[in-house]
Amino acid sequence: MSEISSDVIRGYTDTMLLCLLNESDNYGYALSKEISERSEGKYVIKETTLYSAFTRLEKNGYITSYSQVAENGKKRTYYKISEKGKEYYRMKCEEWELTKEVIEKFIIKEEQ
Amino acid sequence: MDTIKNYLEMMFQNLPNTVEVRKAHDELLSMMEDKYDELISEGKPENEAVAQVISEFGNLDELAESLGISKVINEKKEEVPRRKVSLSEIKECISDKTIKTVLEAIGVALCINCADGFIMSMPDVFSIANLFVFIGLAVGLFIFGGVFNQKWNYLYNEPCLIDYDSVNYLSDEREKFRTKKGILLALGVVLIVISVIPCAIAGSISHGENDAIGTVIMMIMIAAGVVLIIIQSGISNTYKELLSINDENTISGNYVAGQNESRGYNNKAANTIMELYWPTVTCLYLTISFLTFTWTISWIIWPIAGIFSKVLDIIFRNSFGKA
Repeated sequence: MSEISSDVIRGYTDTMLLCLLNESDNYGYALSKEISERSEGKYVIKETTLYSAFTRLEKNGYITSYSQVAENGKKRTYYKISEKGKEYYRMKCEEWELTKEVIEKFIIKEEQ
Repeated sequence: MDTIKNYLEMMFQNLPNTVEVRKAHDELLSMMEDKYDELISEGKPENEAVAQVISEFGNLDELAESLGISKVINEKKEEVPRRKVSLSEIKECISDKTIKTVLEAIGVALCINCADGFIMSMPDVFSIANLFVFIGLAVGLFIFGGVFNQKWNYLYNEPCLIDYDSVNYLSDEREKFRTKKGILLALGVVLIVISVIPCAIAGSISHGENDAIGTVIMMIMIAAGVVLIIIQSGISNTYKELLSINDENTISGNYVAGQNESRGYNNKAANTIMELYWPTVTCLYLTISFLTFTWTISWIIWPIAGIFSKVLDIIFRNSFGKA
């Protein structure tokens, strides 16, 4: 089985994160873990990829961040999706449907 | 966990010390810690957990844009290589600088007492010998101390780097020295404060006859106090200086956040005045004392000058700001 190339997935890490944040506010590692679990271990997001996505999303106003002390006493940065982020997420979902439709036309499945 | 921390420090060590970089460092560390803790709680052996966390860290290039450091990352290869200073060199440096501080402190004490002869009597062989021998010895000590120091000049002239073991060692040592520093400083100040007592006692017992002896004892006590104060500040400055080797433009500057107060002001004239201040006071003291032969009282110039220098410092700082 081949691995997902990071070039391809890069454009959609934002979508994945916004999807998860749309469900609830969360912090870095929990989001990374959730991505691994939902993709059944087929995609493990790197810490640097995750962090650069956070800064990019925050800069564009799609998410906001706040500090909160977790149950174990550790101070964590939590991320929260904004209205603008929700809108952007919808747009990215539509964009993906379109992308998928187009690319699919070029994917020839070999006859068994 | 230390391996992970060190790995991250290594990755960040050439990055500029900005708010964004520090934030990224802290957030990445927090994510890596969470992942490590979870792997360990799942029963993974430590080395496997560390290996997985590090392999899944990614690449700093990805952060370049968000941190505004693309320039740094791309130019990294052209950077001047920093000379690495080992822990044993650091230890040697601390001991050399301690010797230098002690020698200098003794030199200052000799200078303070160089005029004792004139306080005791009118100029005679004894008082002149006292003056020249003490000053001569002091100069000798200053030069000798300078020799110890010279070896380490490269720490300030060349870009250098100390590793994280050394940083931890220095932080620990500085922490341990804190109590000693407090005691030395307190003793020094107490000695200087109570130095007027012998004068007062001598004055009250003999109605002026033993004023000179009281003053000499006072000078000796002041000198002892000054020695203690110089030693404590010299040693703690050594720690501070060594800890700031990494800094100015690297993330390791975290270790000295707020410690790098500079001594100058944002004004050339103010800096010149402060540089010339103590030499001028010294000249004034010697000139006035020699011209008027009022050694018993002319020492009063020192405390007044001390207070005045603090006042000047506050005025300059408020009007120009620290450089």
